[in-house]
This record gives sequence, structure tokens and C-alpha cells, in this order.
Amino acid sequence: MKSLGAYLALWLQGLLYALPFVVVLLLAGMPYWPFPQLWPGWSFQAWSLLWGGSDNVVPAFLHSLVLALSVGALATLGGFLSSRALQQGQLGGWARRWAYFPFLLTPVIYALLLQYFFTWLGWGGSLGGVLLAQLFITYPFAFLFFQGFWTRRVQDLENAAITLGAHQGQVFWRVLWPYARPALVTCFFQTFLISWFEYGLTSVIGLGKVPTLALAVFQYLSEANPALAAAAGLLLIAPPLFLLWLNKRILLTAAVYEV
Amino acid sequence: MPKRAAAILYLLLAVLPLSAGLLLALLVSLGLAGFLGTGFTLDYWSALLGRWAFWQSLGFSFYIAAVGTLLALVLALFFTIAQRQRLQRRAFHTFLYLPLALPTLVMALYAYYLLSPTGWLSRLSMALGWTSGAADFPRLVQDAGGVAILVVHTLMSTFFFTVYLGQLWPKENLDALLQTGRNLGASFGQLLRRVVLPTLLKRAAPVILLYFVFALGSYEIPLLLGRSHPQMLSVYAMNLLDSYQLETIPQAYGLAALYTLFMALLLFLLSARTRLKKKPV
Repeated sequence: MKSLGAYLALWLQGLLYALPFVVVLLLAGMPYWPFPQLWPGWSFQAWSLLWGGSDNVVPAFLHSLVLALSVGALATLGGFLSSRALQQGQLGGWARRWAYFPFLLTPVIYALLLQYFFTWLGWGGSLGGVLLAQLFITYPFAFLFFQGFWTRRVQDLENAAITLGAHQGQVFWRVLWPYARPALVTCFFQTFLISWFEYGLTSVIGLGKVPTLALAVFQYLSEANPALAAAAGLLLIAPPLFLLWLNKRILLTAAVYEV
Repeated sequence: MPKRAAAILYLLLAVLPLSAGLLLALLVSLGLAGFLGTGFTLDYWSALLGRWAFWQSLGFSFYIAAVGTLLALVLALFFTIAQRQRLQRRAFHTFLYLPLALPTLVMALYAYYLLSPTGWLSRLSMALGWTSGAADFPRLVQDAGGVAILVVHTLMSTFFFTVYLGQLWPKENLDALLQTGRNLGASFGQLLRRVVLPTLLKRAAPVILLYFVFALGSYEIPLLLGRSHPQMLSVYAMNLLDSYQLETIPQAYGLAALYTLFMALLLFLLSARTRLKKKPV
């Protein structure tokens, strides 16, 4: 009975887990799929359209890449440095807990609250504006991420280095930086993925003028263009799959944020 | 980084935008700011709270979040308990993580082309002779029950909960606890009710609540797979903002403020619970 349950679970899980990849791959490979045909015919037309045709997705891909890399780097660095200066206990309970707030709030509602200011400052509809808006979500995340990093052990390491004659710069580059590198990489990729998948905030603050891959997938879907939507969707999946190969834990936090 | 610079950065990026946005939303919704701001009024709030569509939207959002989270939890618990022996295998572990790479938009695309009247399930049912055309297939996308939205939420939450519960299993030493229970003569049902479920659910409670909250504010999925009535809260708020009737804009700000204050209350209650737990007896 127990093994029957295990087999049933394995088959059901296999089906539920594999089907989205199969369907998206099928959709990406079939520009024409007339009803009620069960299987589409293969063609790479969607891919050639994506890269060279009128539906060129390259600008959206590049915008997404520049945004995600910049947001990841700035949020990680800002979160790392400021959380060190404002370690636990130095920032009041509510002030620290406030950092959970932007993370809890749905991005599109946050965008609604911010939209007026971005329009007033003339930053709406610009790449810089979208970058700043995404930092409003990713920086608090990075700050909270590194709050747990500054433990007694790190402080002891710093003190030991200073006792041995190291100056502040050496403590940072020779002790803290190598010790923090795995955490920095994890935080960078998590914030990269938050930005890479982001739709609500980008569409509202970007006013539709900042094309990203997520926006392209949404647009193709709204236009009932499944082949292009799936092909762009596969491009959207590529970095997280690479990160899965690199480190599974990174995806876990990004998945929480995605829903 | 000097403490002052760090505090300014934290203030500018974490505190100021949200507090300024919330303040503005409250002022606009009370008629004290914005181009419709002609003086203090509760008209926009009473208009918002008097709309049947608002309460329907609230109910629909809670229904999607609650049912989706509950179904996902049941599925994830089933997968974790049934496959507990495979949890330590590296290949199985990687397999569990694989669907976490799927963003909501791609899952929405998948659900649409699986469940729509011209989707793959409809084609399959026609090939099997169960239906004679697209019109015969039950409406599962952009329907009143939000089936497609529910499917995407359930699947995405299942993917996450399965990984999370799979991580909790060895951490909570459940294999040893189950063995002890068996030695003491407990049946499989008793072990489930008295050991596995209380242990896993107690530890996973904050994450389950977090997922419920995220599902409550879901935007892209209902925008693509939902219909114009009833809408989930985020979609409803954006529709109020983009409406041609100008007086609905302060109502959209009111709804955003209400949602933000609800999250603040939730955060406060969660912090109070944590503080209470930490208090020495």
C-alpha cells in the first residue's frame, strides 16, 4: 500500500512537473496549430521572428539583462554595506521590520503608490526610473538577507584581524569580502531573479516604454501569439535554469517572491 | 560605510518611498491631495466600500488564495510523505527544484493553452470523442470560478511547498520519530495525525502564511486568466486607476492604502507573535 502511494505520487509529480516544460516547448516550436489538431508541426519560425523579424525581442532581452544585472549588483552591495553599519540592535525593532513591508506588498500595489512621484519627477517611462523602483523592493530584501550574516563570529574575525595589525581596508578586502563571497553571490542572484521576473512594477512605472522580456511574454500572450510567447518564455526560464544548475537555494527565495 | 550614510540609504530606499506613497494614497482618497482634492471628504471611501464589486473582489481574492494554498499544501504533503525515502537522492532533489525556474507568466501561458476551449485538453477530449467542438468543452479559463487562476496558484505553491517540506523532513528528524512511533505500536494513520502533520505544519506555518499573502495580491495570473468580473484585488485596483471615470482614481488610492494597512497589521501581528514566543516564561 505504501509503495503504491509512492508510485502514484511519483507519476503524478512527474506529470505535474514535466507538463509545463513540454507544453511551452511545443508551443515555442509551432507557429501554426489549428484546432482540433492534437499535435503541432515543428517549425523554428517563432525563433527566427524573435531574433530578426518585426517582433524582435533583442531590445527587451537586453533591457531585462541590464536591469537585472544592475539591480542585483546595486541591491546586494547596498544591502551588504548598510546592514553592516546598521547591525541588529542598532536599528529599532519597527525600523528594521519595515524592511519586510515592501517585500510583502504586491509590486503592482506598490507601483500604484509610487506612480505619482515618478511622474512628478519625470522618471516614469525611463530605464533609470524602473531600476530605482525595482531597488525599492530588492534593496530591503538584500538588507534583510545580510542582517543574519553579521554574527558574533564575523565580528570576532574582524577583531582578530585588527589585533594582528590589519587596517580597515585590509579587514574589508582580505577578511570580510572572501568570507562573505558565497552570501554575496546568493543575494546577487536572488535579486537578479526578482528583477528578471518582475512584471507589475515595471509595467506601471515603465509606462510600457521600457521593454523587458516579462513584458514581451505578457504582450505576446495578450495578442494570442502562443509561439512567440512561449519562445520568449523559454528565454525567461534560461537564467533560473542556469542558476538551478549552479545553486538550488537561490531559486527557493525567488520562487517565494514570484507568486 | 558610515552609520549615517547607511541610515540615509535605508531611509531613502526602504522607508521613504513606501511611507510617502501610503501618505499620498490616504490624502488622495480623503480628497486632500491630487487634482480631485477639494477638501476633506469621505465620499471616495464610502463609494469604494459601497461598491458590491469591491466586496466581491475581496471575497474572490481570499477564495483563490485560501483554496490555492490549501490544495497545494495537501498535494505537497502527499508528495513529501509518499516520497520520503527518495528525498535524500541527489537526482530527485534536483527534480524537485526544476519547476521553481518557471515564472508566473510562463505558468499562465501553460495553463491557458492547456485549459482554454481550444487548448490541448479540449483537443484531447475531442480526439477521444468526449466533446464535439471547442464550445462543448467546459469553460476553465476566464470563468466565474477562476479555475485557471486556481490551477496556476496551486501548482506554483505545490512546487515550492514540496521543496520546503522536503527540507524540513530531515531537519525535524522525522524518520527517527516515525521509527520510535512504530516501535511504540502506533499505526500509520496515528503517526500521520500525531507526529508528521503537527511537526511539519507548525514549522511551515509562517511560510504558508507568506504564500497566502502573496497569492492574495497576485496580479499577472488573474490579469491573463481571469475575467472582468469578479477580479482579484490588484487587478481591481489597477482598473479603478485606469478607469475613464475620474472619481474612481481616489478610490484606487483608497484601495491601495487599505491593502497596505492590512499588510502592516499582518506584519505587526506576526512580530507580536514572534516577540511573545521569544519571551522567557
